[in-house]
Parts: sequence; C-alpha cells; structure tokens
Amino acid sequence: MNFRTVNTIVRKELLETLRDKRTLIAMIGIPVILYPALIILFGQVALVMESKIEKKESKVAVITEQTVNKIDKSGPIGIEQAGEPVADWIAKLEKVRIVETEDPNGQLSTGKLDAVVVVPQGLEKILARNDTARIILRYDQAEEDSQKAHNRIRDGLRKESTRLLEERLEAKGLEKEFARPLNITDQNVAPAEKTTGSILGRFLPMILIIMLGVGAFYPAIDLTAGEKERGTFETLLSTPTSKMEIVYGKFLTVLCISLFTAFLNLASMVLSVLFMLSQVTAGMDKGSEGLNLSLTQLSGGNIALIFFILIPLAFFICAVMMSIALFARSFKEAQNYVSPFYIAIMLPGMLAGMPGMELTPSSMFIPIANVALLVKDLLIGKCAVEMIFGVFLSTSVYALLGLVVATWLFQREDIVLSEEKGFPLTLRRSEFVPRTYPTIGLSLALFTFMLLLLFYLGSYVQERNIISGLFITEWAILLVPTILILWFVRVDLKESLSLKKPPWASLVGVVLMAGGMFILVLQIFIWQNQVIPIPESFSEKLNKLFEAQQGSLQNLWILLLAFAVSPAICEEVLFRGAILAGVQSRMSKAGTVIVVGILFGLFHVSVYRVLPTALLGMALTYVVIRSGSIFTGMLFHCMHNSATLLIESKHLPQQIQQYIQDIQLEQNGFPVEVLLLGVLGLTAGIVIMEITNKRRKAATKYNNG
Amino acid sequence: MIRAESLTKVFNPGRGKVVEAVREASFAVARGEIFGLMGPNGAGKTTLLRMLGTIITPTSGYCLVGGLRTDEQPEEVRRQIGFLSGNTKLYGRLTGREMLRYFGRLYGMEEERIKEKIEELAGLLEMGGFLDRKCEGYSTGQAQKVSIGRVILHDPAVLILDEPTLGLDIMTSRTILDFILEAKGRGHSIIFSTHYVTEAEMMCDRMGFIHQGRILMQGTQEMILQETQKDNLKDAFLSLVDRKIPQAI
Repeated sequence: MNFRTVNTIVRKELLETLRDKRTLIAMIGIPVILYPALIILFGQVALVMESKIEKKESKVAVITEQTVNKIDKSGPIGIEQAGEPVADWIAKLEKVRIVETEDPNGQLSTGKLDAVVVVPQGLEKILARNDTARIILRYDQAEEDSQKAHNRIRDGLRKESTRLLEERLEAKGLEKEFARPLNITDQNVAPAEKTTGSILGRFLPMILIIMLGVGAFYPAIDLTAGEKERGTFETLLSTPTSKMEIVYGKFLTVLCISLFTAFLNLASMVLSVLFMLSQVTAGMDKGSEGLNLSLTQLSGGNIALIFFILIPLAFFICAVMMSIALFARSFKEAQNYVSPFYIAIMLPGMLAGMPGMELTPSSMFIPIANVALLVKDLLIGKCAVEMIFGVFLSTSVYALLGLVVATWLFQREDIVLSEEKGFPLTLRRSEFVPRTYPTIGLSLALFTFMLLLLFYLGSYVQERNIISGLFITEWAILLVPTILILWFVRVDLKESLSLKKPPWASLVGVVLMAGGMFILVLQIFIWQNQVIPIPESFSEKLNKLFEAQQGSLQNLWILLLAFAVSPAICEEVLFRGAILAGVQSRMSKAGTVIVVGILFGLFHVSVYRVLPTALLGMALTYVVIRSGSIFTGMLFHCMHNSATLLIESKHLPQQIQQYIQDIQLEQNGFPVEVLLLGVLGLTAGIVIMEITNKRRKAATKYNNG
Repeated sequence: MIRAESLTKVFNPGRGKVVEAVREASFAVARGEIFGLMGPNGAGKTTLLRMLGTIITPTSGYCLVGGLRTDEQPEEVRRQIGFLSGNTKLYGRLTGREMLRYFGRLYGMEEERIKEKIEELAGLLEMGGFLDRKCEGYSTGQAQKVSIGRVILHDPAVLILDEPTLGLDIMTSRTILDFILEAKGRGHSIIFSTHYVTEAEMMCDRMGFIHQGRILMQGTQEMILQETQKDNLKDAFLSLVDRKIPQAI
C-alpha cells in the first residue's frame, strides 16, 4: 500500500466533499449556526417571557365558602366578596390585585382572573378558637399567569400562617422552637464541577455520538453509493490504485469529517452553554441559591481525553456506515439503508444516560454504550485508567472489525459494480416487476417500517391491554401489512415465504433443536441477568399478569394463543419469510443466519432481550433455510414461546416446577448435566437438519433432472 | 501486447440464476494495432473489455497485457492501460484540470510532468475553453474529451476504449478518432468497441464480431468479407448471426 496514493485520494475526496452543500450544512451549519442561534434565541425569549410574567399584576378574587356552594347550585346570585382578614393579607401582597366579580369560576377558566381564593365562612371565629382554617387556592396550572398568581398568594399566606402560629405559641407562653422539633438542612458536598458534569453526562455523550453519526452520514454515502450512482467508481478502479488504498483514502476522509463535526459540535455546545450560564447567573441575584454550576471540569485534559476516546468510536461508526452504504446503488437508496444504523447508535447513548448505568468490567465491552459511559464518568471527574484503557481497546477492536468488513466489501466486484435497478420510487403496483423474492433493500425497509409500527402502535395497544394488544400487534400490525406490502410489490408469496411442506424428518430435528435451544437461551438470559440485571418493573409486570391467570386452564389457552401461537405465525412470516428471502438474495447462508438473527433480536426492542432473541432468531433462520419450509420455523418458535410461557406462569407439571425451585434456576442457572443435554439436543437436531437437507436437495435434483 | 485466452465471465444474480456474459473469448492485439470489437447491445463487449481492464476478474481463462497476467498483477497491468467506457465518468464537483491532475497523481506521475501533459492535451483535444470549469456542467463532447485526456495522460501502452464516440456530434467524433489514429501511430495498442460499422471500417486493422458472449469471427476486414462472401461488414455480421442461431438450437 502506497501512502502517497492514500494521501492523494484523501485530498481529492475532501476537496470534493467540501464542495457538497449537504455535507457542509451537516458539518458546519448545524454546530456553528444552529446551536448558538437556538440556545441564545430560546434563552433570550425565555428571559423576556419570564420578566414579562414577573412584572404582570395577578388578578385575584376572594370569596367565602358559602358563596361557592351557591354558585355551584344555582349559578351566581349576589356574591358576597368576603373573607376578612384574608382579603387584607392578599391586598398587602405585591403585584396582586383583588378584583370584585360576579362569576369568579367562569372568569378563572376564561383567564380573566388568575386565581380564586376560597375562604371558609367565619374565618375569624375558627382562628379565634385555635382551629385550622382550610383555604383553597383555585388556579389553572396550564396558564403561566395563573401559576404565578398561585405562587404569590401561597407564599404570602404561608408567611401569614407562620405569623399566626407564632402568635398562638406566644399566647401559650411557648418558644418558636416548640413547633419545630427538627431543623433539616441540606448540604450538597458535590463540588460545582461534579454537579455540572452529572447534568452534562446525561445528554452530552449521546449528542457527541449523534454528531459523529451526522458528520459521517453524508460523506459515507457520497463516497460510496454516491460515487457508484455518478458512475465514477470504474474510472477510479481503472487506475493502478489498489482497493486497499481506495478504501483507506475514502475511509480517512469520512473519519476526518466525522471527527471534525463532532469537535465543532463539542466546542460550539460548550461555548453556547457557557454563554447561557453567564446570562442566567447575570439574571440571578448574587448569593441566591440557584444551581451550583461550573464548567471548569470541561477544560483541557478532559476535553482532550473525550476527544481521544471518540476517535476509535468514529472509526467504528464510519466503517459501518460506509459498509452499509456500499450495498446501495444510489444516494437515496443508501440513505434508506444507513438511517436505521444511525438510529441504532443513538440507543446505547441513551442507555448511558439512564440512572444506574455505570461503567463496569462487563459493560466496558458494549460497543458505543461503553464510550458514552466513559464520557459520562470523565465529565464527573471519575475515571480509572484501566477503564479508559479497556474502553479504548474494545472500541478499537470493533473499529478494526468494521474496517475489515468495509475493505472486504470493497474487494467484491458484485457489490462495488452492481448495476441492477434499485427500488422504484413511484408507488404504483403496475410499475413493479413481478419477482420471486424481495430485494434485500425491500427486506430491510420492511424491517424498519415494522419496527416503527411496533414501536408506536404496538406499544400503545399493549399498554391498554396486554393480551388483546398482543393479538392486535401480531396479526394486524405485523402480519397483514407484511403480506400486503409483499403483494403490492408483486413478490411471489409462496416462494418468498417458503410456504412449502417440510420433510417429515426435519420436524424431528426441529423438536430436538427447540428443546436444546430453549435450555441454552434461558441459561444465557440468566447469565446476562447477572451482568446487566433487568429492572424489576419489567419482569414484575409479566409476573403479575401470569399470577392473575394462574390456575385457570381456559385462560392458559388464551395465553398460549397470545404468547406462543400468534408470534410463531406472524413473526415467522415477517422474519423467516419476507426478511430472510431478501437477505439471502445478497448473502451467503451463514451470513443470512447471522443477519436475520440479529434483526430478530433487535426487533424485540428491549436491550435485555436482544442477545437471547438474536440467538433464537439465528436458530430459527437456520431451520427454515435447511428445511426449505417456514412451517419448521413456526413449530420451533411456538415450542420455544410455549415453554417460556409455561415456566413463567408456573403451569409446568408439579415435579418440574419443584425441580426448578430446588436448583434455584433464576439465581444459579441450569446444572452442567442439563446444559449438556441442551447442547446434545441442539447438535442432534442440527445433524438431522443437515441430513434431511441433503436428501431434500438430492430429491429436487432428481425431480428436475 | 494483449492476449486474451478463453476468457469467460459468468454472473450469478442470485438464487441459482446464471448469466454467461462472455464465453471462451480468445484474441490478440499487436503493438501499434487497432482491434475493433463489434456487436449489438448486451453482446458482452463491455464485460470483455472490463476483464481486460482488470475491473472485473474472469471466471475462467486469462489475459496478458504486456506479458503480465491481469488476474495476478492487476495494479501493474493497470499502469500500462488507459481504460474508457460508458461507466468511467468524471467527478462532477472537480474541474477538468483537477480531474486530470488527480488521475496523474494516481498513476504516480511527477507534478511537473502532469502539468506539461495537461497543457499538451488541452491543445490537442481543444479543451482550453472549459478545462477550468466543473465537470458537472460539461456537454457530452466536452466530458468525452476530458475522459480521452484522462486515458492517455500517463502514456499507457494499451488503450481500451469502449464506444468512445457514443452520443457525440461528428465534429467531436472526428477529433477523438483522429486522436486515436495518432496514438496508434505512436505505437499504442488499441482495443476499440463500436456500434458504427463505418467507424470500424475506417479505424480498425483487425476486428472481431461478438454476439451473445461469443466471438463469432475475427480477422481483417478483407478476411471477414471473403469468409462470409458479403460485400460490406454489416451484411457480414448479420449473416454470421443468422448462421449462429440455428447452431445454438
């Protein structure tokens, strides 16, 4: 590899990229103009609005309780404006004016009044007999003016209450301290930098990760799919440049732009926040107790460290984005492919912002999340050298892996030079060419679309009622749109969904694999639970549901239909049907198993289920590929979910239930002999699948020949 | 200079479908010779030339350029080749001059040499008027002139030109064809594919007819006419195609 050539490529790509408006806007426009503008504008507007509300006089009506009743019963009839001495106290308050009105409640709701104070009848008598008088403050929390009035009156009346208390104590000859046995005083020991750091730590890591993505997004596409679309790839390939030199040249360009964007964002954000802080502190009285903030922590060394750790992360993000974009034939198509990844990298960033997430020797290896957590730690000044090293090392490994994949993809002429027509942009069924299998682009688009539907519609219906929600999710949200879309783009449903009778022997293999896989997946779930514990609320919610249904056999059938049968049919059609067919058209069988498995894992939205479900997904993909029939996947899926359901809802036979309790499954996992049994079942199943596959292939060859 | 030996390229568009784009193509081109490749759209011309240009690797067979095998030393081979096809476009956001300079550097040329060469080519191909404008604004003819400049810039021994006059007006075509003839005079070996029979008659020392991935016949114009017993290349080609089809069935 010649570094002079790489340098030549980088310089040319940078020049060309800097002449592209899209990249310029993402790289420079957003950080340099948008942030300061937004922060300054919002800050100013907020300040102006605040002072406007502050200056405005609150209009208040004071009425007695009796009047209220009258109003409620038969409308306003001759209201007594009353409530001495409350009216006097309120009248004394600054910027509060008492208004006489016929219809206090009506005026409050229309905003003509800011608050209504309801005073009990005979207030003075109540006070005189040392009783408590209930004073109701009516206000409209949705209106800022009303809130302000509420605060003003509440503070004023509290002062009066304290004064009255003191009078009462004095009358009894008691000291003030009598009514205040404990004096609780807060003392925050966190230095100002740490407070600032923990606030910044909640959002800065995610913003930095997003900005690396934003910076890389357009160049990664432009330098790969864009170059393909413009037909210049072949020009470049005709020079004595090696593929490696091309990859590295392009990659370094994307990396530079990504890092530069992140750096500009970091700088711009720090400056904007500093500016805003100076405004806020200038607006506050000196010595008043506000948020104790300081940005000294964000200086010198730590910014350098944060930037240093972002380098391998940027490496990783750029390499993956370029690899994905390379599959597309046009800029637009590439945008569709890269967007899901771009969204996916935000999730670990968000995870790091959640309370309780900390950098541990195990979370040190979760890609992207580890960097986010480290940045968070650096911001609060808590950083162990071995953690920095560990995160840097593991991120570098991922980066390298990404780069290896990108280089490998660049070497493949079928990917770099593919010329097949892309996904048609207009949407008329007649314009689609009938085809046996969906394209990989369609499959990925379908996946993203279904994920969004699940995210917005599915979670909504399941929130309302989990059982009916599950049925709606599986059948109406997943199955029907999947089939409709496939029909619309004129894909052969029978072929692409593998709607074929499986060889009988393969069913034996599936049953064995499902048994083995169930044990192994459950074990992995338990292991994972020890590393990243599932928050209580998640498992509690499920357990409650099962407890409610316990004992009733009729309900068990409904549960089985909702948790096992429906997912087995609907999710299989989506994943082992539509998605599998598209992915397989571009990848080897092994690659397909891995990709479809991972997509299946990601589809279960919860971070805690990605790994186990991805593994399950791989096994499901494998059996469908090997048997050539989606029904094997359905059987497998149904068995797995049923077993999970039975174990969770404690519907298993007495002996097994007892055994699970004896071995303390949730804490210890399975004993070795059971695990071995699982491995054995899985292996035996795979062997049977391989044999039946060979026989099936031989048979089809025979039939065709 | 160039020798293709049983070149075959099979594409797998997925799922068991197999497309044989070029099958068992063999031919040779000597120094200072123009070899014409003629055939209809989709005949396999571009795939064949792409294999010679090391853009894609042959499924079987091999080719030698300047004694080097394209599959074994692709980078060395590319140093001796200038490759032009409908898929070798220009970088729209660069100017013609930047474009040529970039390729000069990729071929490892000295900065001084690149500068001289660009000036020389600007004169020969009449590019002075537009060389400092961005390529995205070029007309087809202007773009093709810069592409021809790009191909010859590093003075390669072999020129592979896939339909270099496609879509050009007669003026630009003539400039480019003259330029190719001149390159031949300077000893470049040239492979040249075209639709236009008259162009082939005028330019080529020898030619090959390609149809459905196979070279049906090759030789000098006279040889082909004699063999097919026709009096022009068009009829000769059509008779070859007609002869070929019954055989295939």
